[in-house]
Order: sequence, then C-alpha cells, then structure tokens
Amino acid sequence: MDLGQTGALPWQPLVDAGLAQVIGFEPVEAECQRLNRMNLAHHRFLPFAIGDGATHRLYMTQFPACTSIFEPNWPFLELFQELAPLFDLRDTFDLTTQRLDDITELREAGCDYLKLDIQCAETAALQGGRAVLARTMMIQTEITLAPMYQGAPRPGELDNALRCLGFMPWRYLGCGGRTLKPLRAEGEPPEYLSQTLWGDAVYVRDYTRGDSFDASQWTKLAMLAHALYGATDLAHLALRCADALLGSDHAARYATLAAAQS
Amino acid sequence: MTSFAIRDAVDDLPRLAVIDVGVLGAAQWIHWRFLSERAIGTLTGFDPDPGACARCNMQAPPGIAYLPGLVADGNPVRLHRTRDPRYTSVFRPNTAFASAFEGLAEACQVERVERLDSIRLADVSLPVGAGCDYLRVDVRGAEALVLENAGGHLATAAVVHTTAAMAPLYEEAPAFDRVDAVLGSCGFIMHRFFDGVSASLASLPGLAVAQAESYGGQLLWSEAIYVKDYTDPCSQPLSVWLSLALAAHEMIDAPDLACRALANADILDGGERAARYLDSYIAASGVAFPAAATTAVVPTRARGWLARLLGR
Repeated sequence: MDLGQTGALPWQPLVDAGLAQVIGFEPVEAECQRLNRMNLAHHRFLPFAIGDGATHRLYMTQFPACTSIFEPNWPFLELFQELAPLFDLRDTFDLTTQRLDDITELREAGCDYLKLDIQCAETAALQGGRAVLARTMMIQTEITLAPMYQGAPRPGELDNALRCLGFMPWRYLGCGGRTLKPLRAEGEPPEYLSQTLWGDAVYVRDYTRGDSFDASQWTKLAMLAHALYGATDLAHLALRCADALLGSDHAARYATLAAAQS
Repeated sequence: MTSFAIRDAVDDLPRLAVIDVGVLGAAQWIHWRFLSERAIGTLTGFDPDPGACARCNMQAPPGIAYLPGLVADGNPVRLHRTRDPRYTSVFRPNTAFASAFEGLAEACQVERVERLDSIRLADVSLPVGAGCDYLRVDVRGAEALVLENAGGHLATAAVVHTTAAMAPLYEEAPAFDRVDAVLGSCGFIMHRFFDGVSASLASLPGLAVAQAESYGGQLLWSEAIYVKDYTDPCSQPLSVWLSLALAAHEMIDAPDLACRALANADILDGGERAARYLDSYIAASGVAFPAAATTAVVPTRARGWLARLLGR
C-alpha cells in the first residue's frame, strides 16, 4: 500500500517480479478512474484521501510533494535558502479523509508493506489503521523532523504511533535539509550546512518478539528485507522462522545462495 | 569545524555551562578538555563512583568537574554494569532481543548490579551559579528519565545533545518518542539525527556482519541534537541566543545556525553581531562575496570536534 505516491517507489522490485500488487490512493474520483483505466500492471487505485476521517483544508503547494493538510509554517520556512517557494500555495480546498480501518476493501485485503509520504499526516493515517495494518511487516515512512507545517505532529509522535502498532525503527534511509540564510552551501541540488528537515525511515514489526507471526508473515518479511533493502541477515532469520513452522529448508538454501553471491 | 573562533567576531558571548550525563562518567572528561582550552565554557559531569570523580578532578583543568552521583529520576535504581561498559544502564538489558544479534548479548551481559540512589538534574545547582546552556545526555535507555527530571536546566539550555533509544535493547526503557515529547514541551526542535549505532543479526554469522555494514543493520540508537526553536527571536531571552550561537559555532559545527542565533540576539537588543560574524566567516572561508549581497557561499561543512567525541 502506497500513501502519497511520489518520489521513491521502494516496492518496485517486487512488482517487477510479479510478486506484489500495489494499492494507491487518488482522492479525485475522475482521476482515480483514469488511473485505473490505464491498467498499470499490478496497480489498483482507490478514490480516498487517507487520514483521521475528518474534513481538513488541503494546502496545495507549488512543489506537489509539499502539499499537506497542514498549513505551511511560513515564519520557519522563510529562514532557509530555497525552501519557502516550494510551499507557495496553488490552491486550497476542503478534503474529507477516510480512516484506513473504515475502508472495507482494505480491512478485508490487509497490507504487508506500507509506504507513507503524506507530509505530516502519517501519524493520523497510522492511528486510523490498526485493523488494516494488523499483519503489516514493514513500513517505510517519511519523517518531518522540523516544524515546517503549523500544528503538525512532531517526529516523536510519529514514532509513538508506529510503536503502538508493534513496530520498531529498523534503519534510516537518509535525510535532507536546507541552509539557514544568509549562509549558503555549495552543490546542486544545494547541500545544507546543518539543519535536517526531513528523512525517511523503515520500521519493522518487532521480529524478536515474533512468537505470534505465522509462516506467511515470516516469508513476506524475508521477501521485503531481501528485495527492497538487501538485508540478508533479516531475510535469513525470517526464512528460518518460517521453516520452523512449515518444516521447509528455505533458510539453508538462501544462505548458500547469499554466500555464493557475496 | 569553522576555522575561526566566534569570540574573535563577537566579543560579548558568555561562557557556556555544559552538563554531561554520560554512561562512561568521569572517564569521558578528556573529551571535554577543549571547553577549557578554547575558553568556551565549563563542564559539570556526573559519575556514581566518587573515586573516579576525585581522580578526574585532580587531572582535569579548571572549569571541568565531575560530581558524585547517578542522574535519573531521583528514585533508587539498580545500575546494571555490563561487560562492555558502554551498555551499562539503570534498565536491565533485554536478553531476548540482544541474543538475536552478533556479539550484542555478550556486550550486554550483566556483571554486577549496584543499588544506588539516583539524583534529579533539577536538584543540581551548577558550581558556576548559572543555568545549563548545553546538556549532553549519553545514557542507555534512561534519556527520558534524565530529561523529564531536568527541571529549569531545560529552560535555560540552548542545546540538548542526546542519545535516542530506537530498539528495545533494555526492558521497559522509554524510547525516542518520550525524549522528543519532553524536549518539545520545553521549546526544542530537532536539529539533526546522526551517527546511528546498528547491529547485525546473528542468523548468518560472518556473512551477515559484512552485508549489514552495507545495508545498515538493525538500528539500536542514534545521536540527536535539539536546539531551542529559533523561529521567533522574542521566544527566548538574549542569553539563550548568545549561548546557541557559541554552541552552534564551536560545538555542533552549524555556522548557519550560529549566524541565525546572533541575528535573533541583534533583534532583541539592536546589536550588529550577525553582520560581524558573517564578515569573519567570509574572511575565514576565503570565498568571493559581492559587496551588495547578503548571502555567503561557504564550503560544505567539515567534520570536527563532534565527530571526534563520537568516535569513542
């Protein structure tokens, strides 16, 4: 499931291999129908904006990836080089959101992997998705580290929402920022001197307390760890746990292949 | 690290009062020597071993002092001394978790447990008689306990540099979310995350270690620097902006933040510190700077003292 289908597409290797189906979201009904008529392989789009179930003002920005239900925090943004113009408003309108758990189709289908990048609405999406995410094994999410939006949750609130669902941080993928005016760093796109503004993190369901995982969950964790993140050790551990439940020998064969390729 | 001393550009900066609450206690004093050598400020640290404090206080230069005590929430605690002292904690290591990782269970093996009375940072008066300007917290799992009981020190501090627990390495220990919550309630924003410490699973010995180095492994904890929200100059007194400028320039390698903090101070009292700092920065970095411009192009930052400290 991909909330905020912009930028990186971490799930692509599994889709290319025909091993995953991606559910995306497009709240504009006509646009959603158009996307579905394109018959993208292994893709399906649902006509919802995911959030806490309430209606919010949507702030559409010049740089589409900055669009959010939270108003840009102008006094903060204007302190930085080349940041505030990204948030210039193109339009605003009221947007009614849906909780993940209120969408019957999602509750029935579940979700193995979630990618989140919805500009500070991640916390609300997670809090409304306990049932849909009950069997999810990995979540890659953007984290807004500094107050770029007014009234948006802090990074710790997002971390808490994930921990409450049984996830723990697994790794950070990288971060970005801008330089405070009037200094400027070199580089194109510009490097930044010190202030980190956003980053991406991967959370994993706590696999050291995996007594309640079934073989399907372990196997899917192995696929995700290997194909999306190259995490040989986690993939092997997950296969070993699946083997213990299935009586199979996938882990040993995987270890042989991994050793041969190292 | 920037190549000029900020005091050469701005002459009314205070000396920083630094507090160090660290898992390695007084053994870390040598990493703070630069505070005295470069006249940046004073250090007050803590170590539950009075003998270690006494030895440090004999060897360290003036302005660096360790006080006997274990900083937590003021309640009696059990200090779990581990085989690798970097994993010593007031929380019991989570052996079920640690045993999944290469070498981690051995490092976390408890060699002895000491029953101690902890102290609250809120109850500590600094020898210099002022509030804390820069708080360093480097304890395993107990960061939130220290910060939630820091009292007025978080009101005066401009910078908090803390470890943030990511994985459940200790039983019932609070994690990063509580650290962020308490700092947010005291007006701090995150400045940056860096230097995450990871472990590789023991599932594939050897192969996993090599490959985990390339993909990152399981994150255990990370370093986080928080600073007072600098958006509104009127949100803090002049002293906080001056301390933030000094710390940003000399300790966390953030010249753009130093300049911002000085600009905030100037707004409060009509000074011209930010312009003088910018002039010095441009002179030190040797970059061309059009006379009418207000933007300095500077090289991407180098690693400095902070990297050396964290290279422990």
